[in-house]
Amino acid sequence: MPKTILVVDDSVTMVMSLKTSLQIAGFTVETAHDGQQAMDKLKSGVKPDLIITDINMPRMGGIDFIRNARALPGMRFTPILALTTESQQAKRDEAKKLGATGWLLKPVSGADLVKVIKQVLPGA
Amino acid sequence: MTVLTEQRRKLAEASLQQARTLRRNMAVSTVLGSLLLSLLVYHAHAWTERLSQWLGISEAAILAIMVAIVLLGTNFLAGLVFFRTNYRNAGSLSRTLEALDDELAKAETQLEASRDSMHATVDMDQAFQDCLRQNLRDSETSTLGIIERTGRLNEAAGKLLDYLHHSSANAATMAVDIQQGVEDMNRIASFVRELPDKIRQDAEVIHHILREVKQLEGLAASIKEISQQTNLLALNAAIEAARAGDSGRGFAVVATEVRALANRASAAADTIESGLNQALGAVEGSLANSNLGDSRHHLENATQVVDAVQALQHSYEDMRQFYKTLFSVVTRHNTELAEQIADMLGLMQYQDVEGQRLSRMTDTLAERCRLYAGVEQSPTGFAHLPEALRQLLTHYLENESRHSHPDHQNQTTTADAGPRIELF
Repeated sequence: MPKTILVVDDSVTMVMSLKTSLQIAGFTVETAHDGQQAMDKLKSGVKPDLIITDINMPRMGGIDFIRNARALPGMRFTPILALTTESQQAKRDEAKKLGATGWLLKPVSGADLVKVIKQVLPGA
Repeated sequence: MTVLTEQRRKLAEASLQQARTLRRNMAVSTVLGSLLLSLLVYHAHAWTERLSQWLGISEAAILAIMVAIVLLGTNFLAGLVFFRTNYRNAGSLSRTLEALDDELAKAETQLEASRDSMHATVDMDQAFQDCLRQNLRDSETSTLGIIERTGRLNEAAGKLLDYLHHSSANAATMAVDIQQGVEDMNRIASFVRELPDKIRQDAEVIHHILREVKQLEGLAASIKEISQQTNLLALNAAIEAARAGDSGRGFAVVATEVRALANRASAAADTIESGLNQALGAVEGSLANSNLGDSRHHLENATQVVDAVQALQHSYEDMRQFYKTLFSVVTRHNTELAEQIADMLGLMQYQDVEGQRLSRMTDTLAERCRLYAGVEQSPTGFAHLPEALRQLLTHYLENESRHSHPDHQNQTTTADAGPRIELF
């Protein structure tokens, strides 16, 4: 059974790039273009094994999304990776405090991304 | 209309007004003087004569002095009016000039502010140029990376294609071998189909031989019995011979019996020989009925079958090795292709990084346009624009420094931020 990954990013290029990379690596991919849309998907029953989210997004940013997602039932231990251009240490610390699993600065090569996913998602 | 133009217009109007007032006063004083002089000349001709006599000077002198006094008075009055008018106009002109000076000072301040604004704009544009150059470099690098990986993809695909062509040739050779194997297998099948009949015939021959051998079993028993009796008779003969001594008649009886037994044994031996001959004849007959030839043929067939099976086994081994190698090569190439594609897709992320950088730049440009537009409505004009532009630039640079900058040479860390990949 392939693992499901939810990709959240307002950039269409990023979403398509990540989706294709992850599908080649054998994952099933769900996508959302901001935190609000991702929350709607999670509430509608989508149960990802891993979430990759941008930080700076319209409507609901990545920090708020991590906070809200962690409050949902069954999402307490789901790995959440932040993939962003944001290099401010304060934001990184805040994400860590809210329960993010890791912080990746764009761009990340496909090999590195899959390597990190396999580290945080045993059996992937 | 600008403030300076307005002041200049006021100054020109004040000067014109002054000239007009002067002209009017001059005209009025001239008319009044002429009128007054005419009245004096008209009404004073009686007492000018008396005054001339009283003063002892000529009447013409009196008249001249009177005209001079009137002109002097008239000029004094005209001068007084002119002075007052001129004084008032000069005050207005002075105020206008002071206002003009103020406006000029303000204009100079605005000019200085606009000059500072231009410097701030130049600094900002320099930062934008740096950003655009960075974008250009990143785009160029990522594009070159994509081109390089596309080349590798093409190379890997070409190698795979060559290998597949080579494999196709090998597969054709193997197909010939396999076809040969199939023909051998058909021969085997034909042999196997005929084999039960051959086995049945062989079994019948063997059964016949068995029946003959069973008959020999009864003969053997008879020979055994005869032998026992012969032995017993021989023992009796020996006893009788010992007892009789010189009596030879008993021996004649025993000899007769022994002879009869010998005859029976000879007959039995003949019967056994005949049975054995029949059995041998049956086997020989079976072999003579081309069974031996068939067996040779079967042996040859069996040898060919073994060879065919071995050939098939070799073909199978070749085919297994061929597909194992093919699978390995295709897997390796596919893995390489997948890695190249993943790297290419990773390079696509630069578009997002550059897009965000350009977005921050366009936001700053929009804010700068808003500041420029605000100058027109602001009572202070350009005065606060340089500081606002400097603050905007500082904010832009700080915001820019808070975002990652792709380092194509070093993907592990950024100069001013944490590690590029950090697991908490």
